[in-house]
This record gives sequence, C-alpha cells and structure tokens, in this order.
Amino acid sequence: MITVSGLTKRYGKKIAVNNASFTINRGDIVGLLGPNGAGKTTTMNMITGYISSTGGKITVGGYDILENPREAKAQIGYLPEQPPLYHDMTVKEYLSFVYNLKGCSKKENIKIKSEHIKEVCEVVKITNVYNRMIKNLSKGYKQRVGLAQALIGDPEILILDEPTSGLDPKEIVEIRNLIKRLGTRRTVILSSHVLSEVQAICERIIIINEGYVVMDAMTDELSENMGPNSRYGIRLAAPDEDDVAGVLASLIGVSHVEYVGSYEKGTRDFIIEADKNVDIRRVLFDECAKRSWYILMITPLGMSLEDIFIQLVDKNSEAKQLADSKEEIKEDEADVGNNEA
Amino acid sequence: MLAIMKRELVSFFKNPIGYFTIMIYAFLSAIVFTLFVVWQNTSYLGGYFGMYLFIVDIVVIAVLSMRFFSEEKKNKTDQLLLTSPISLYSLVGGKFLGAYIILLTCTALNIIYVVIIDALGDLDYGALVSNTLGTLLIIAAMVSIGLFISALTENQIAAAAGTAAILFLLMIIDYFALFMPSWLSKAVASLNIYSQYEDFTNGIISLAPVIYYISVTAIFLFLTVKVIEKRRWN
Repeated sequence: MITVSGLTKRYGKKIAVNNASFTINRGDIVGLLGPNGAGKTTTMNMITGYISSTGGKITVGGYDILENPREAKAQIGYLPEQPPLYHDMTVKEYLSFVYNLKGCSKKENIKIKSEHIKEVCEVVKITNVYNRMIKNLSKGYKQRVGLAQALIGDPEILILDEPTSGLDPKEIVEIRNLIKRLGTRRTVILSSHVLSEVQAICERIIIINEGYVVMDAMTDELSENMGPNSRYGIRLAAPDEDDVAGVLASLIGVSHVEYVGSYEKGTRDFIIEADKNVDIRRVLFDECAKRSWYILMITPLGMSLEDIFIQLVDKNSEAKQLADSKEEIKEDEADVGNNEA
Repeated sequence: MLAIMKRELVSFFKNPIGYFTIMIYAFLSAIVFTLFVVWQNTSYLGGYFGMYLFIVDIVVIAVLSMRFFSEEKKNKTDQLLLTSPISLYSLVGGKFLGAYIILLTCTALNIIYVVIIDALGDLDYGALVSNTLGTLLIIAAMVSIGLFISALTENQIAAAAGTAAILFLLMIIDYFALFMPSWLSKAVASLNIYSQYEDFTNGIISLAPVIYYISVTAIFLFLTVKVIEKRRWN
C-alpha cells in the first residue's frame, strides 16, 4: 500500500530523515515511534506530499507521490499534529468545504454530501456540535473534527500525527478506541512519542531516532527479540526462614533473582531472569514441589517498550558514535598521509 | 478551485473585518469622487477612475493579502490544502478568484457614482466601458502581486505592509525614474503599473495594455505557484 525507499530529508546541514525504508501493507496499523525531533512528522509530511523529500521514493497505492501527487493524495486522509481547522467556520461548513476540496462529488463510491458528512460525524461522535463554530469547541472536539476531516472521502489510508497529544485521559481513551475501530478496515499510520499508546493501538512499530529507522517489528515480537534472557514474575508461599532467593538463584539457567516484596500475606514476589534456552517454569515447579512451596503466580514479563526504546536508542547512538569515530580516524590517517607526502 | 474560491468569499463576508474593509473602500472612494468629480464640477470619468481610486484598491488588497497564504501558514491550514488531491494551480487560482471577486464587489460600489454622473451630468459611455475594462484588468494584476507577496511570508503584518508598499511603489516608480540615467529610466518607468492605464482613462481600448495586465497577472500567479512549490522542497 505504501512503499518508502531510501527516504531522506535535509534541512541545510541537518538531516531530518536519513535513508529510511519500509513498506506498509493494506490493513496494517503501524506506529511511528520516536522521541520529539526524531523525524516522525517529517516522514509523515513527505508521505502525504506536504513537503518534498531530498532523496528516495514514496509510492502510495502504486502512485509516486511526486510524479502522480493527485492520485496518491486521493488515497490518504491526514490529521496533522495541529488539526488544520478554520476557526471561523461551523463544523458543518468546514466538513462541507473539505468534501468539495477533495472532489468527493466526483467519486463513485461516496454518498451525496450531506449523507456522507453525517455518517462521518456519527463515526467520530461530533453530531452534537455539527452546527457550532469550531473556535468554540474544546480541544477534544477539535481533534475529532480534525479526524472527521481526514475521514471525508473515505480514504483507504489514515495518517495521524500524534492524535492524542494535549487531550485529557478520558479523551485519550476515546480517541484510541476510535482509531482502533477505524483501523479495522483501513491502513493506519500513527506517530507518537508515548510508548504505551503505540503498544495499545498498533500491530507493528517502526522506531525512528535522529532520522534513522532503528527498528521495524510487530508489537508483540519486539520484546521477545530483545536480549538473551526470559523474565518471569513469581509469587511463592514459602516459610519465612527459608532462603528462597538463594534457592531460586541456584536453579539451572537462572541468571538473576530480584526480591520485589510481599503483596499477599505469607507470600513473597520475585522477578527471575533465565536463559531463553531453558524453560525455567518446569525447573522451578520441580524444585518448589520438592520443598513443599506453593507457586501462586507465574507471569512471563516481556521487556517494556520503554526498556526496548532506551536500549535501541542507546544502541543506535553507540553505532553512530562508532561510525563517527571511525570516520575521524580515517580522516586523521588521510591527513597524516598528506602531510608525509 | 471553486471550493477554495467559495471558502475565501464565505470567510470574508462572514467576518466583521470583511464589512469593515468594504466600509473603508466606500469611505475612501467617496473622498476621491468628491475631490475629483464633485469639486471639479466635471463629468469626466478619468478623474475618478484613476490612480487615486487604485490606491484605495491597494488598501483592500493589503488587508486581503494578510489572509491569502500568510494566515493559512500561521494556522497550519495550509497542511489541509497542500495534502488534498488538488494541483497548486487550482489552489492559487481559487485564492485569486476569491480575492478578485471581493475586489469586484468593492468596485461595484462605483455604480452609485456612475448613476450620479449620469443623472446630473453628461456621462461618456465609451469612457465608462474602457474604464470598466481597464479597472477589471489592473485589479487582476494587483491582486496577483498581493497573492505573490503573501506566499513569501507567514507574517501577516509583513504580508500586508509588503503588498501595500510594493503596489504603491509600482504606481509611483516613474517619479524615481526621472532621477536615473536615461537607459535605466525607461526600463524602470515601464514597471509602472498605472502608466498602462492612461489609454483607458481617455476612452481608448488598445491591445498593448490589455496584454500587459493579463501578462502581469499570469506571471505573478505562476510565480506564486513556484514560491509554494519551492518552499516544499526546502
């Protein structure tokens, strides 16, 4: 559906997006994740045709965004970080303008204007503010109107830049649920620097840092692929006098044991890390049975997205530093060579 | 293109600033009419449809230039326009038509003065036709220049001041040409947007000024498209 290859954007000497490549298939819900200034918005702006790339190629539904911009843009509904609203219009007037702007009356599959707009308003739940001036709406409603604008014309692709930024917790949950619903029959790309948000909505995550794509994986695969250990949280009912932590640490494959606390009377909680090649649950069960300890809970703990993110960003920075230092060494060697000559 | 034109018109006539602008036009044009027709005790239309009336138009175009692209950029609504499946030519064309119709609405107020002259004096219908055509053409050129300057900046005050200053300069540039060497003065004087209008004042419709104004309009609309396009590449 969307193919991005070798995408680069330079602003003078600063490289905002550096040789990014990925493909997004029909029906995917993809999260672009990265800290502020990572290049997420720039990437989205290039995909939507708002700005041009310095290098690389983007195709949307088979159409090149630079060579066939109209065909490519016709497939995209875009909600920028700040919704592009005309505050002097009512919701009805604004959506009617967007309908005309997108040339929806010429599309065969789109209903007549009033019906289509009403349908979109019902989906994003703004029917109650249909005749109100946009400038008088709350931030949450403005965001919904922005989303309605993106949905006008029933585009196959929705691109949402930080769709929940600045909203209160209740609105965040509502917008997230709405995006999930919309994603059932559309391709959705959303950007966020809130890791839990991407985790909650997206099936796939592309992590961007300093213009580089540092990871592209399915959400549930992410933590599995990170690090050599598996982690479990366990709750044991064992006598106080026993050295539980010591016993757990001596089990085959266990590399680390951490006592977390006691959250239930007569029990103790631990986090244990073990080699991925060993199924520590079986070993643990045998040992506990032998000692008449009761396992009340055993929970696999993946790495949190926060951990993954920090790890990836660090890796990326280290790799960059290494590349930079190699470059410096090469330059120094070249200088020495020149001086000798 | 029509959607953008309609949006411009609705937005202008919905806001108090729109009616305030028309009121300013009516007030200033009434002063021009009083000074150059009533006080001169003449029915000569060239006295009214001339440079001073176009300076009134400059005021209106300067106010509009704050909205053309500068306001869109400031409010980030340009993201909606530039990511919609329309060409840049449609976008600029729609903005131009919207502003042009607003200017024509203001200009239509002059019908009152034409009726007054016709009722109280001897109206030269030939001059009326030529002045009407000339006004339509010079306004188009002025609007396109305003549109171009608005595309250059997102600062609304800079857009308005820049538009007013440049349009005013283009009206009086031949005064500066007097102080320049002869080879340069001719070239500079030809930039005067008003000097091409003089034939229309006298009831003459010649091809050269018609082509001149159409060319200026087309060139500045084209440059506006290029400015927007270039910004997307930066």
